Amino acid sequence: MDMPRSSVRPVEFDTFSTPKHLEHATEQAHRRNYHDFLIVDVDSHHYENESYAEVFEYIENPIMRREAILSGGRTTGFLNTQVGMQSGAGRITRHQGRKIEKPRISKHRDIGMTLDWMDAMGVDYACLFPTPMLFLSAHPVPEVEAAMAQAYNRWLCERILAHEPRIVSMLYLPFNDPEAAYKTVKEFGDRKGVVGFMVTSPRYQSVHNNAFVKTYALIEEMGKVLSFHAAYNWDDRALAMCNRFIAAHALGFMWFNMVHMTNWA
Amino acid sequence: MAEWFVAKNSEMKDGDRRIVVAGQREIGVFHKDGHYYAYSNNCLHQGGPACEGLMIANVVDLVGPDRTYEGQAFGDEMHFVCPWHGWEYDLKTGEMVGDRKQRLRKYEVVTRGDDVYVIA
Repeated sequence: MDMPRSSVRPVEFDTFSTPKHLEHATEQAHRRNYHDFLIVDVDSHHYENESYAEVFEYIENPIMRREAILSGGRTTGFLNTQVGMQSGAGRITRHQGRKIEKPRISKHRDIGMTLDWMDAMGVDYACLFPTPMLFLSAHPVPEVEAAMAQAYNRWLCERILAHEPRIVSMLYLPFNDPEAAYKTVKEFGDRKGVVGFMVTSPRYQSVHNNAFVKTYALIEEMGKVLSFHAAYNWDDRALAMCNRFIAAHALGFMWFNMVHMTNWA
Repeated sequence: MAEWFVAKNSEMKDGDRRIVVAGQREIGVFHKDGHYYAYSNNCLHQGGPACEGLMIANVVDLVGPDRTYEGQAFGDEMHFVCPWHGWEYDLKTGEMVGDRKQRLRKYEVVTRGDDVYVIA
């Protein structure tokens, strides 16, 4: 008797492929004719920690550069972080899978990984923004935020944006240091692939502070955008009363952006 | 409806899964605690590969007799989680545990000798 044909594959976790992981998204993109119109992902998360070894080399100050490089892999060190469970205790498998993945395209790994999901989902352009650095706004040392912002922005412009026209960015603005923020716009505003600047929201700086006016004016003169990316700060006094990550995340993201948008001059 | 070969029963260890492409359908077949369960591999949320993520027991809050919170523990239900956005499903029923009115399409699994088939 002829057996019905089917294709069968096991579910395995010792390999990971973004195109395979997003196969259903690719089918959707074809079915919905995404190729007929322009799609821009304006909030594409970059996992910059995967390239910290390269980024830290761009830190100008030799003391901070040494501290950053030697802190790699430790639970305490140069950069701050937050308690959190973004992967849902491993339920979102790509966070672990990325570590063992080999991108299809042989450019810089970050370019290859980004283009893989873009092509799978039918996205034409991606606007990258860092992810662990979302918490940099709460760093106790403002000079570290400024130094890390400059290093990351330089690395991104030189190693990523200069080499891939489909990837752009709104660069990290070190908002805790108004002068550093202004210098960031001056230095990077005209670089290839820079479409604007982004402030990470969980911070205690008033957007209506006069110290920022010249930065806003320069961004406007350059024809670039200014955006605010939400994040949570579980150490915030109000949010510290939350006993679950999902509560701190859901409320925190909204709270800081709401304050900044309400406080606009 | 047709029967689609999944695997040899002797090859399916406890916790193993197979994804079967049966015509236009993709079906996840689970082997757990001596039983087979089969569900559509398209998440109800946004169409992700619902059957290809983590399998994990449910998490329960422990409440004492005085109604105080006593921590969390793993419960008796086995779930599987869509790896795209974390929608979690009950392995025995295919219900989405956050809203049990929503349920993945379930398929029947039959065994003949050492051969396992899903009916779709």
